[in-house]
Amino acid sequence: MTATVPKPLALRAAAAPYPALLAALAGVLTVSAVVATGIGPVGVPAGEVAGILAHHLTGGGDTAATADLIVWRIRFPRVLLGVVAGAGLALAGAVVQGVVRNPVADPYLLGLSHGASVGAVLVLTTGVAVLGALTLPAAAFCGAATAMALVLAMARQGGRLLPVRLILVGVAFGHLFAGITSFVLARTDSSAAQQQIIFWLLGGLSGTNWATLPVPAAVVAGATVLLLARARRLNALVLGEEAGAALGLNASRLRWQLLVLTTLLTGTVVAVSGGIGFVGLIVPHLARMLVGADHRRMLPVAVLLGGVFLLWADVAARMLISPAELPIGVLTAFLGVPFFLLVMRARGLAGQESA
Amino acid sequence: MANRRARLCLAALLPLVAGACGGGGETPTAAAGAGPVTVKDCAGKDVTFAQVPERVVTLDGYAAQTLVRLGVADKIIGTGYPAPFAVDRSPYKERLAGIPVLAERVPVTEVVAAQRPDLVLTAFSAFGGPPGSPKDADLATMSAKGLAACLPSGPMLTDLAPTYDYVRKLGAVFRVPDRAERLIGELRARERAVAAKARPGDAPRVLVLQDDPVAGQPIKTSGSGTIAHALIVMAGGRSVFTDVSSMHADISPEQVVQRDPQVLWLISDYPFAKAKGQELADRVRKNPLLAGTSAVEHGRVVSTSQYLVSFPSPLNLDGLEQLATDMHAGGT
Repeated sequence: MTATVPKPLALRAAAAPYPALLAALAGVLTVSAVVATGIGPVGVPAGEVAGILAHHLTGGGDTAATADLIVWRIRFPRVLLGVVAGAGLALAGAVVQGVVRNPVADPYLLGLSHGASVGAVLVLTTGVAVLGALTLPAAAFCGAATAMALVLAMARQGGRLLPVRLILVGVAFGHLFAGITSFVLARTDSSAAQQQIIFWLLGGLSGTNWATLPVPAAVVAGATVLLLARARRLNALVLGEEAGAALGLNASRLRWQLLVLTTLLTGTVVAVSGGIGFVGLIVPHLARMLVGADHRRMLPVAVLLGGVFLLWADVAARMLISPAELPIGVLTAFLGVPFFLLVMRARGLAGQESA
Repeated sequence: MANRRARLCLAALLPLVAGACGGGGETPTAAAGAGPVTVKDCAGKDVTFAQVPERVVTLDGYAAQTLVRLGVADKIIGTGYPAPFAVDRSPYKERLAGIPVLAERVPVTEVVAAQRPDLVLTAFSAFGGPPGSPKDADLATMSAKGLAACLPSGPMLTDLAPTYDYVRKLGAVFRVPDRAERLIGELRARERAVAAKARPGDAPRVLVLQDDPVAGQPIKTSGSGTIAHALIVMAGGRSVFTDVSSMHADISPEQVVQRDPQVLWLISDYPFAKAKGQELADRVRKNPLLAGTSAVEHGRVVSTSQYLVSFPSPLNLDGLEQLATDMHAGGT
């Protein structure tokens, strides 16, 4: 095997100017969202789907039609949540990889997702419903926040936050939380709760409605803006402690801030979608391969790619064994791994410089 | 009477009740004119029905089996998971076969929504268990009400209260409370007949098996919180594993040998099992792990389909009779 693999045509887009690439990705995302809304276990003709979307997007109200119920109130919010969750996880992954300067980092590595799982599983097994339908997301978020607080507290040493300690403490706590989750799963009596837990651990977007959407959408949008504003400092952080200090950067402080932001991002997304793996790990690398490691260029691409990727993974999740449904975590691996390897062979691991 | 019903139809706004009036012969007479009916869901919240539900989706066959016995099967516009129909009897079996099947498993939200149901039923203890199936919030989105068959959260279930409660609840919702009470009366009479044959003070030790045990792996059994456990108690036996409560509890093979069951009750047809029915019974009898138990030595191995004894349904009584007969007769 030689390293000279001819570049597939599709990837020449990367050679195009950056604004054109962004516009193309945004276009793909928009078209994907519309097309995906037309795909589901109940067949609705494409023209009708377009009509319903046009009707609502131009300010029309709910109608009594069955197609309207399915397309607008069940399927479209789910498609949008897929985009938001994918974007959020990709963003979180990109930041964590930068913060701990490690290419295999993602929210899982720091114990965040496992912490969220513990919160959710406790709610699912005890049946506590203090906040009604919001109990599960709130518990998942609290779990993620607790995990991060513990990891940050244990990883700090003399006021400094070093990447290696962060990773080690994060991995250790991740295993502890996974152990707790398994214990609760084994102890629970209700097979309905067990099914829900297993589905939750692998993630899924079923059950999305319009009320689910605003909070994660606002958080992901806010985090994107905030991170773009800090992208330069993120670049400096990646250079390492000494280089960062030379550039006048308080690395520990910045890491701390970024990790809090990541917790907010991961906690909110995981709370509504369950533990969807792989997106946060792979999409940032895809983005780096396309436009390089500069966070100012890479973050917007990661956000768009994450959205497109999870959107199609969810379509596959609900169609492959239709009318039953697969956990989306299965699909992110099925679709993501071959795609990632393909791009990596074609373009080389551009993320290596940043590691 | 016919006159009164006609007037009610007019009064109650035509579009919603048109179906009910058309099938006038089918609608119950006892409470045809009653106002809203309120029942409690599993969380104890009130669910109010202003009209008799007209478009019912049963997520699993168990709920449909209850409705067919209440004489309101014509309200079912679709069902999921029809597997339990296979063990039903005439004339219900034929009636159930005519219900459109939405999915072989529990259908996903979209498929249920496409039916535009006004009521969604499941005999599982909650909505949203199987992946993608409608949760309570999804039912609200499609403006349908939902009723699940509640299982009490206590550690021990020793009677069929969940089954009877669900029948009674559905009887109230469909305005056929008298039919529900008649059905419960019949089921209770069968229950008493079984109890009369049990020998007090001589309760055999029963072990539920769901599959042929494999050496070195935990064995799956039905714990004390399940319908199966209630049936064991009602049949005059006692479970050897009351210290676990879930539907598929893992127990250690060593404990099985130590507690020495006198009856093996095979609950067959679980999808994870390596064999079903008679084949499962044959394999269990030859299983070296169980060869030393009193049950196998005396040939007391009883087999029942899970479709009779897993979830609240009128067919639980069939399971009970099977268990009681075979348990006291000495097995198949």
